Amino acid sequence: MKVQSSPLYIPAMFKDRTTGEWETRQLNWTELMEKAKIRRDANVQQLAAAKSSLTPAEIDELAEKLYTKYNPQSMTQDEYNSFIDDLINGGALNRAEANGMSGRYGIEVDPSAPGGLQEIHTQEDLICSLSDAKGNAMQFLSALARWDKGSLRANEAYSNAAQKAVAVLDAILERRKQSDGRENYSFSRLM
Amino acid sequence: MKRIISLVMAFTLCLGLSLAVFAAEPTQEVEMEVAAALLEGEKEECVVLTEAERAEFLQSMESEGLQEGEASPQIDIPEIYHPGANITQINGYPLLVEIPSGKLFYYSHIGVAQAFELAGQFMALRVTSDQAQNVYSQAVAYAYNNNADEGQTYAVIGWYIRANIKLSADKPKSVEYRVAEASSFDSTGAYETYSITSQSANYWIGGACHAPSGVNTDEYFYIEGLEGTFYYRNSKGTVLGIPFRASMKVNVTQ
Repeated sequence: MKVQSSPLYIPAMFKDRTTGEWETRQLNWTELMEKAKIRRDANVQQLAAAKSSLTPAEIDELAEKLYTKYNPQSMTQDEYNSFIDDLINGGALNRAEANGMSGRYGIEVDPSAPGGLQEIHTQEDLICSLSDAKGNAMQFLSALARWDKGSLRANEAYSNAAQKAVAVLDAILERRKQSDGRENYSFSRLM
Repeated sequence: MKRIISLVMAFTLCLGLSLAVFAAEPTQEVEMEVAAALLEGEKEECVVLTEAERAEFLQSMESEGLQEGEASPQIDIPEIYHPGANITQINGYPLLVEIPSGKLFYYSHIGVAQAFELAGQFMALRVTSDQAQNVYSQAVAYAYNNNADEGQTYAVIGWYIRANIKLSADKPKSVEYRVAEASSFDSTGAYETYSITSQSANYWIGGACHAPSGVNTDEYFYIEGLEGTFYYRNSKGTVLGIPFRASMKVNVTQ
């Protein structure tokens, strides 16, 4: 005989988008988590299907497209979000990976497990957000790649995703340096 | 071949010299003197290292080398690390749920943080009502404005806590922790255990914590947060534990 346990309710705070007022309602957590489980299973498949790394040709192609658009060492949060979108559109990341990148989709967490244990080795390991890194997306993504997010299934995939983004930013930075060098050279010739 | 052998011998000699000096007085100054002496030695002994080799060698010395007041790892001078499990910083981020998908997430750029000058085993991040409402509003608005999925509703169901904890002991063993509120998310609420090898290091721990029942956006509530125990062995080999907790007090008056 199947035993039906009573559903679990937890409080949730909703903001009325018209009045701006907050209201607390009870959320049927049991039902929501059943849907969440289906979603997580689909995510796991997507993460497993993600590229573990990018080829030099893929990195070059993305860097060529993006080097005039982004400065890896100075980005606003909106620029960062847009950069992540460009990586998705360029085939470097998929949507499931973007859920671990702290862009517009935030950082997805698994409620059934604590968030891991990450040893802090350097000052960079203290970076928790793009603003902590003062807009330096290279630093932030490098720190993000080292985060232990606890969920064993997603942790490695999110880390790989951040490393792929760092590889593209590295190539962008190199191109920008070369480009700046050329501009300076032209400028000195004109003088 | 002779050149290679002489290079290896000179290198070994340099290492031997450096260890003796480190053992005598392990300070930053001495380390610099040793580095200088090594460079000097290179000239006298005609050890020809390229810039890259020299940089690599010095870097390896630094990485194995000494911080002020620390003992050299190569020599067996007992160093006492006072056993401790101290929370040095707590970050709190509004924990959002996407309905109906059930996605649970937070934004790492929308939250509150507090670093503690006096770290301790049981620390709480205090958030005023204004601060809490401000970050709730920011997070929910950000979700509506930036998430591409249509037809989703967003609500705040608690906080994601990230805590920076310093663990130290001569003979560290392991640390275990859990989200104290986990029983509502998952019936097990089990502890996760991690082995610890560093005698003194800081770590990030984290977890999703739901708000307690009866919560509202104005009244004070307490989130138990992350609780755990750091285990170590004392000089007699007995395993001892130090409990810790990183919690939150929300809607405090100031």
